[in-house]
Order: sequence, then structure tokens, then C-alpha cells
Amino acid sequence: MLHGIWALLLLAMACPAGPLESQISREQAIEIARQEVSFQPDSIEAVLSESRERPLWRVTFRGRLPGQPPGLFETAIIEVDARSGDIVSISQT
Amino acid sequence: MRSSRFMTTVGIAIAVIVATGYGAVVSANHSWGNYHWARTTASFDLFVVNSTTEDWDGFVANAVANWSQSTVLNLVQDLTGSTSSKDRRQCKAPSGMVRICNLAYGYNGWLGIAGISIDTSGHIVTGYTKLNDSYFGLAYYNTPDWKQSVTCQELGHNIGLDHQDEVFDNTSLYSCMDYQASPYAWANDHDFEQLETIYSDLDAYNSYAGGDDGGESGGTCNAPPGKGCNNAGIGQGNPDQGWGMSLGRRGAKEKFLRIDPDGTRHITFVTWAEGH
Repeated sequence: MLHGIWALLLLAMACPAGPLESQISREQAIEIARQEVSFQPDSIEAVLSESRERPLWRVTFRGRLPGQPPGLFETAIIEVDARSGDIVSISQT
Repeated sequence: MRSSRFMTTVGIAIAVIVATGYGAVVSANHSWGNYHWARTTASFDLFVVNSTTEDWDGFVANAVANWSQSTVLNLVQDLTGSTSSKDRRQCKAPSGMVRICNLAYGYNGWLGIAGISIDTSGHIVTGYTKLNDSYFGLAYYNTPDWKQSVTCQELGHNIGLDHQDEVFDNTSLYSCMDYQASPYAWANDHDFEQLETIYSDLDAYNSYAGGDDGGESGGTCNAPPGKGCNNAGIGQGNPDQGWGMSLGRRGAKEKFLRIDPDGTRHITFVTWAEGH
């Protein structure tokens, strides 16, 4: 039992991969991304991911536009560099 | 200082919100955040890698021809784009280019989506357009007008345009950049005028593939460090060697592009042997 705990501790210390390093908070990332969106979102989702060893906030906004056909909604996805706060990519429908 | 700037920003934001009423954007200026491709010439050729299946080819060709009526840019279609499901799902464009794809991406709320990648100077370095066959397989959307309009609009985003209007049930502006329940399939004069405004000032480097980087850099990429190097120039140090970068593969056929320091383009078509 004790050996098992030690083994787990050693394994944890040996694995350098920890949580993604981010100097930009989720709230800051959403605020940065929000400036790129022209519609009123009904939902906002922010996920911390990684691309080429660069941590990124992937912020997705969804909302309905006036008169929009049923089943469709507006989507905008903005990727924000989680270290610098720079916008890396923008997608919109 | 920062606080003052923040308050100014908030003030402007509130003013914009009040003026537009949210979700009811009707704008004389429909630049997409002023994002644009960096270029050093008054007009430039932007490659659009066509990774759509044959049923979309006509719509893509029409939209490419339509936007190429602009005086500030010319879209050049590359018909050898891969149509593998994997490539169409990712729809990742080569550096300096746009890729357009179709697939049944699911009932996720959008008919089409366009994305741009930005360098640290705010210039576009790649673009993609996805056309969602999940919806276009439905009778309501499976019409030439819907397909042509969405293709036109997404490619319009890829070159720096936003929507002219975001209300579906108001008077049509007769532009594919105007959301309408009865969609309009083509760009209008205001779209072309907006492009002329967006691309009125030249940049110090090219962020699109195929641009003649020129300058005194000996033909190497002249973008500032980390600011969207033109990968089409890879291999310029050995201008007589290599095929350059792959523009895409369709079946056994693959197309490569190499740019020499003097701007000469070499396009190489390769037909791979079976199993390669």
C-alpha cells in the first residue's frame, strides 16, 4: 500500500506536463474575444487548449439573430493567446 | 492612463451597442475588424484551394469570379485541393492561402463558417471556408441561391468583409454579405467599395502566398519576425531545386508551387505512382 503511494508520487513528479500555463484569465479572454463579436450571445464557452506548444483560449459565442431561420444560430469562435492576449484566429458564420 | 483608456473603450462600446441595438447591425462600414491580407502592391492574387466535391465546384467558381471583379484583389482557384474527408473536416489552409471545403459537419447551427488566422500585426495569414452539407442536404437550403449566397459570403469574410446587415427579415440590400431569408447570391457595389477602402494602404510585407517579397532580403520572407512569413517562399535559397510547397493532393495528382527570388512562379503537377 505504502509502496503504491510512493510509486504514484514519483510518477507524478516525473511527469512534467501539468496544467496549461495561462497568464490570461478566462474572464480576460472572454472580454478580449467579446470585442470581435457583433451579436448578443446567448451562450459563451471558453476552453483552454494548446496549439504548437502555445496555450490558447478558444472562446465560442452563440446567439440568435432577428428573423434567423429556425435551427440556425450565429456562431463566432475566437482564439486568444493565453500568454499575450493576442487574437490568433477568428471564425464566424 | 490604462483606466482612462478602458473607460473610453467602454464608452465607445456602449455607444455602439446603443446605436446598433445589438444583432441589428446595418453598417456603412462592413470591414471585418479591419483585418486584411498584408500586401505590398495595389492588387494581389490570393489562392483559393478548392477542396469541395464536384457538386460545389460551380458555386465556388462563381464566387471566385465574382470577388475577382474587385480592383484590389484577384482570387485564383486551385482545383487540385484534396477532397479526402479528413482534409475537408479540418479544412486547414496552406500558409498564405484560403481553403474551401464542404462536408456534413452536423446540425450545429451554421450553413457556412469562415475563419481567418491573424499574425501579430493583425494581418490575415490563412483563411478557410466550410460549407455545411448537413443543412444543404435539406430541401429548404438545397437551392442554387442558398448555396451561391453562402459560398459568396464566406469567401467575402476570408478577404476581410463582415456582414452588411444581420437582420434576416428586413429589406434586402442585394448583397451576399446581407443576411436575408431570401438570400442574394452576389456581391454588390458597396462590397467592392469596402474592399477598396480596406486595401487602400499598402503594407511592408506580403502575408499571402505567391507575393514577390522583393526588397533587399535576397528573396527571403520579409515579414517582421513572427509576423506571418510567406511559406510559399520556402526553397527560395535554392531556386533551381525542389517543387516548393504542396498546394494539395486530389487522388494521385498533387500540385506544388515554388516562388523564385525574382517572383517567378513554378507550378509542378505530380502524378504519383500507385501506393505512393
